[in-house]
Amino acid sequence: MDATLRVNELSKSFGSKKVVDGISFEVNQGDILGLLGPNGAGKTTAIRMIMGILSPGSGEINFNFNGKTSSMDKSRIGYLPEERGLYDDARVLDTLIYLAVLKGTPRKEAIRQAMEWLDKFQLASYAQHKLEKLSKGMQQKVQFIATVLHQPEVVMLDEPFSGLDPLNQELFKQFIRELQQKGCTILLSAHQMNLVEELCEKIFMINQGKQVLYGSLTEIKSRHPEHLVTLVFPEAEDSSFLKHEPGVSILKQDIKEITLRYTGANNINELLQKLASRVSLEEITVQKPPLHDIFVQTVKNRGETIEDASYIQRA
Amino acid sequence: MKTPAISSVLKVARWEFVKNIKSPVFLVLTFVVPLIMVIVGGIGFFAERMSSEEELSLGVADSTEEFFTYLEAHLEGAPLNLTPVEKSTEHFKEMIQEEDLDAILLVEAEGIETGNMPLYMEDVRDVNLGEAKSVIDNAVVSYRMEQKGLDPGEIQAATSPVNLETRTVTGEEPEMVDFIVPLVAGMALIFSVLFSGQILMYGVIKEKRNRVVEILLSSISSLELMLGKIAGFGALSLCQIGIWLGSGVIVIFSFAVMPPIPLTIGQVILPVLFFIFGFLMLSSIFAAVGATMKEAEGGSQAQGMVILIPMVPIFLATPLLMEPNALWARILSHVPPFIPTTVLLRMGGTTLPLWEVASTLVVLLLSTVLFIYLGARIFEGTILQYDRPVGLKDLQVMFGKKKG
Repeated sequence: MDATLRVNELSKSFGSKKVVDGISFEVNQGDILGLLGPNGAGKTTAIRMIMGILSPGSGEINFNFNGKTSSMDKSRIGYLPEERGLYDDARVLDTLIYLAVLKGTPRKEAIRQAMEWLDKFQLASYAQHKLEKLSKGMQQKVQFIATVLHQPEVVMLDEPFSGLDPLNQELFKQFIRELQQKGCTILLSAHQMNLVEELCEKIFMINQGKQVLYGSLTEIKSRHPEHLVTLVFPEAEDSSFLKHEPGVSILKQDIKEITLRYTGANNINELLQKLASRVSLEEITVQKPPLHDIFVQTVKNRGETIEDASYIQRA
Repeated sequence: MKTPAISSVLKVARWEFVKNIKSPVFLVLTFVVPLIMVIVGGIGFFAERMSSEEELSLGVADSTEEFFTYLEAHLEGAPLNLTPVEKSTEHFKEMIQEEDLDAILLVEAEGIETGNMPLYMEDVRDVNLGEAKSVIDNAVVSYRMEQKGLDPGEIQAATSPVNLETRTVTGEEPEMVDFIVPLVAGMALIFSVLFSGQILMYGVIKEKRNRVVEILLSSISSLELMLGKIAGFGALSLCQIGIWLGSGVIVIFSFAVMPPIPLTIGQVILPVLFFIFGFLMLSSIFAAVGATMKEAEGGSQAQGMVILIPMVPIFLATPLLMEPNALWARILSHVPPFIPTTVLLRMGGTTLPLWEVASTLVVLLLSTVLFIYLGARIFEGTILQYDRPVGLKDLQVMFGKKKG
């Protein structure tokens, strides 16, 4: 199947600083690709280049609409920028119509679609209000409507959940899924890893402009050699032998519970069998580390650094 | 840079026009500011008229004992009240106060001969001589002539004023409209750029500040956005001028201030062309400057500097109108940012040769295209720089180096 969006060796520098460094990825029709990375990793610059807002330094960006390859057709793409903003002194409906008309939607159709979407977000009664009169959450919804009103085939969502309360995060998730079900191809940049894991089939992780990890969520997790193991004992047990097991590092230890990281060369099953033979266990949980930890660990293993300190602390 | 799509330009232009024509800033600039200007101008006009119509009370201390009658004979309805007073300079102050005089003219035979006649006032700043000087002048000239033996009929014939009937070499009488239209277009250009250009620049700064620009650029190119804005504000400006001209015409016809002036396309086309291209060029500079600003405060400082561009020829208006064909005026007419205003002012002072109209128009056209292109480049290169204003270094990077 031809990918709807294909990015090949994309690079961009600002002055002497290379902000995006030869990244390549593909998104198939109806897929959601999660673009992940700390602040300043190059996500927004990459999205702006894909949107044609910034011109690439080098590399190619190709779209495939109905079997035809084209470099850019802005009318078929929706964009929710990280830096939110609309005309605060203009009416909600007027703004939505203007933005849809700019994308090539006929005025009458734009009015109909705008009212439908406003109704869906329970904002129909605010259609004639100036945007400045709306709450921040309502403004975010209007911005989302502006992104999808012209029925785009590809949607770029840059940090769509930032600033939203949990209830609205759920609502946005629901609408993103609806878009996907309609066949829309979505590129989603976000730092809420749990939300990304819920929504995305494929992940592209970026740090300092370079690709760190790329593939399906399952692939990325299975490729990562690390396991997090939680052991719960029925009563106090002597588990000191674990400290000497190769590849084991204890993360947390209570009288009846231990959490450890296993990065050994042997299969995890061998460690579990050994455990079962040495101590009595009430509960064993084995899981792959969260995406965030995988990202930070991979960057460390490559001998690179993460510029955003707050991002490392989340690990 | 890709060729802009006209439909996108028109969509932006329509939005800017509809959005801004209802804005309080536009309404204030279109109706309130000109009204204030008319009121202030009207007050000045009427004050001057009232002061010129005010009668001057002039005491005459005549030692010749005949000049007073000459003066009376030359009053011819001038607002001047003559009172004979004693020739006693030490009592002039009391006389002025007691007789309620504005001034006292001391007339002596020697003064009439040499032309040096003392005029005493309590405070020279309080007295407007108005027509008094010409009345005294005429009376002195007549008196001198009569002293030389000329009779009154000969004196009247010798002093009757000359009326210069100006004509072109082809024999046509010069038309007022040839002077007025370019000057009106020049003033309209200044006001349009001052008013619409200001809203345009703040609009760009605002779009940058509230981040709308990123959404717009995800639909259209920076060149289309910039052209659309300039076109929208151009239409807004024409609408504004239409309102002013319309109001002016109504006032002229209603109060019969002056007779209607017949206009031909030939008299209007060149000033209008210079106005349109001048507006486009200056607006592109305003939009580009707005794109480099972070906040409106910075914009207002920069605007003060940019506004000087069309104003420079205005500071030189008098020499431009007096010497429209001077070498410096011709050079200034070919320096891009000053072309429209300089040429329009010169057109008010002379008929420019065809080659000069053509050369200035060509330079204006080329520089308009160049400024729009440069403006769009700056617009594109700096509009996403939200966190700080754009410096010279940024512009150097933008134009000096290849894209990253």
